[in-house]
Amino acid sequence: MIEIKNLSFRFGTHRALNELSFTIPEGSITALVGPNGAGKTTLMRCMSALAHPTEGQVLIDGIDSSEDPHACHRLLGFLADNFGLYEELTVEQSLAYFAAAHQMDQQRVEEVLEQVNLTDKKKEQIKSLSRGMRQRVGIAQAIIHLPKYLILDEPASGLDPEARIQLAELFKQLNKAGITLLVSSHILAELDQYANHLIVLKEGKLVETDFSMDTAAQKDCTYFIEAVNASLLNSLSEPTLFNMIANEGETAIFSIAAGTPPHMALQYFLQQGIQVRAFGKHSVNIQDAYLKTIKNA
Amino acid sequence: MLSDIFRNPELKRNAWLELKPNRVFALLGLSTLAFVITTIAMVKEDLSEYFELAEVLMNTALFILYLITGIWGSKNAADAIADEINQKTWDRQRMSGQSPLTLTIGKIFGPTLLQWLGGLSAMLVYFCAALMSENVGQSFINGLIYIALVLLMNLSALLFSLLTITGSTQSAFSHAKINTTLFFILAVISVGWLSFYLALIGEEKGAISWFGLIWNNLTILISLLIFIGWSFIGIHQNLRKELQYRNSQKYWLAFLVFTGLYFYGFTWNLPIYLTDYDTSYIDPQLLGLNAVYYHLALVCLVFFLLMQFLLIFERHSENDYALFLQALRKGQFTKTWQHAPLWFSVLLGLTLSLLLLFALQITGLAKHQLPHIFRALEILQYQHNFAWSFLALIFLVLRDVLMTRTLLYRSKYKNKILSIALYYALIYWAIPLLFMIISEQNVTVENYFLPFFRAVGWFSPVVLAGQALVAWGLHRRYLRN
Repeated sequence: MIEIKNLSFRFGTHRALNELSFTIPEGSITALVGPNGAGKTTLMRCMSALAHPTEGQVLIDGIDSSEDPHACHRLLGFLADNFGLYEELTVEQSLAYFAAAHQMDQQRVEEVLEQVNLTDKKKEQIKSLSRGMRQRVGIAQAIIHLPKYLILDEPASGLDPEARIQLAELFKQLNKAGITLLVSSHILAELDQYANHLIVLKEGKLVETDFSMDTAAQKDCTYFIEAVNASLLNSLSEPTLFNMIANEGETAIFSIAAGTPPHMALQYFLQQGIQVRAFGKHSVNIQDAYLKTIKNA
Repeated sequence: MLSDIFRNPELKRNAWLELKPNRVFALLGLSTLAFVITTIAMVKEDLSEYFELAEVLMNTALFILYLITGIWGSKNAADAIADEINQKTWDRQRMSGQSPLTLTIGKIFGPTLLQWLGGLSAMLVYFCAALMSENVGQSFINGLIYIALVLLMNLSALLFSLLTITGSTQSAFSHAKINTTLFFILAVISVGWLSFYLALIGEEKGAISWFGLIWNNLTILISLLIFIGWSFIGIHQNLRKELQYRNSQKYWLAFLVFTGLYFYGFTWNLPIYLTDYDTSYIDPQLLGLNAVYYHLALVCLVFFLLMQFLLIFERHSENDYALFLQALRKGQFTKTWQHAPLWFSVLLGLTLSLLLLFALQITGLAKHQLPHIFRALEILQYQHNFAWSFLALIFLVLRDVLMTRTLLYRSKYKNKILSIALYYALIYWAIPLLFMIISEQNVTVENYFLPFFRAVGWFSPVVLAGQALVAWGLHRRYLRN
């Protein structure tokens, strides 16, 4: 778990981060969003123990990054927005270098190459690769030492749509392999594909956190219904078939148990005399959530 | 240890990049060509003795060493980390598990691998030729001296650039490219000047006395090796900071003490001037408190120059300044030293030395005038107002601290180093010169160019009040928070 406690960072008299406190749960994929200059990169650098906070603490699995940055570095992988690649080296040489720097054996290079699907490119010079491939090399470098947490600053910037989809798949795959991810991005629609936790920053302050996004599994079983006769919908007692999440106005949001066919829920509403205007899957959209949060901030 | 060096990831990476067969063959081919051309050219001049041929080969080897390892290598050394920052690969290295020692060795010899290969292969010819020279032993030591000088040049270039880089990466949010040309030039000029000076000493035996010891080639080599050791420690300490280790400044303080003692050695035989710089000249050994007095004056001057150098080139990050001042206010001694800029220790050393210097003046224990080189400190001769003089010097130093800090961190000028150079030209040349002219002093050519050595007028109450005002204003503006 990553804990941030009263974190502040100053550039002279300007406070880039202002008393931030939040927690990133283990196993999550957290999206870090905010307008330009909000302090996202500064926060990521402090979390990666690359910059010393002016006040407060960053605790990685209980280890204070200011007290023992090296222990934190062993637990963390960090990918900056520019990837940080040695253009003249081949993919294999570059990974071999970082493996040696982390005292990992050569076998690990082969494993990582496979993990990021770059085995057939290992003899190629990095400068000859496409942006999407270079991105993968960057991620491979960041995870070569088997970190528990991976922090990625704008990983999808400049990637074409296909590369973005592949990147999202890779993130899900890494997450499944047990890595907790923190991803900052401007492309909110893309974050929606894999993030299940959202942190919003504005002018160095925390605007929103603890806002759990729907996980993929939740997205699969959360539905909405819009009714013409709203009063009847609102007066419905909670059925055993599903859990009502919200029921206000003309819309009700509910979840059904995994494996339950959704048409049974629709059938139930119709049986109750509800005149259905719309029915479908419901998911909390990061873009909507972000805009709503920023607007209210 | 040796196997660790060969396993050094940074050396390996640089070997992949630098030691490509075409580059190695081209370099060795050019070196060989240089030897052939100079030998043929000299043979035409009818070399009567084979040691003359040896001399030609040795000089060519030294030229190659200077050109390839010295100049080219120093440029690469200065760029070693700046390039990583510019290419955004440095953070990854900072997070890697490399120890500061591994990284230090890697960063010193990695980017200069090819250049050392070229230089040392030329020196192989040098040492073979030295066997044929008139004085084999002397030639061998000379060869080692030049290798040491070139290594010192490389180390200085890396160290100077690190002074600037370390602060920037601690902030690490600047997207500006780091240009190290200035540090490379500084290293080449300073060590190049040192080589020239040492060559002169070699010709004039007994030119330098240090604690009564007359310098020869061996003492020069030892002295160089000591400074190589200090440079290595300096780079190591900077890289420790880069890797987020905590530095307590103990090595820096040890270096300052060493510098004080080292320079004390050169004041050992300085002539004493009793009343006037030019007329009453005696040349006894300095004894007792007079020796301490001279020594303190020299230490003040060295510390003053060192502090000015650090003020300009040391880029302590804004955040580190904040942490330093925070710890200072709270009286947290250890934390204060961890986050203090290097110039702060020099300032303390300077203040302490000045206090002792004034104490000797006030008590009248040291009665002699300062030697020529310390004329800038002739303020000390204002015997009737010591407190005033002491305050003047402290304000002078504070003014520079705050001005350089402001110009480096706060000004909107694009070329900050140029703005600082202008400031120094104004404050140490134009204003003193103006005062000299106003006070109708004898303005000789020397004084035109080095008015700093004639500290007239610029410690006057008006200037002092101005300095105090500047210091106070800047303090209010920038340091209160």
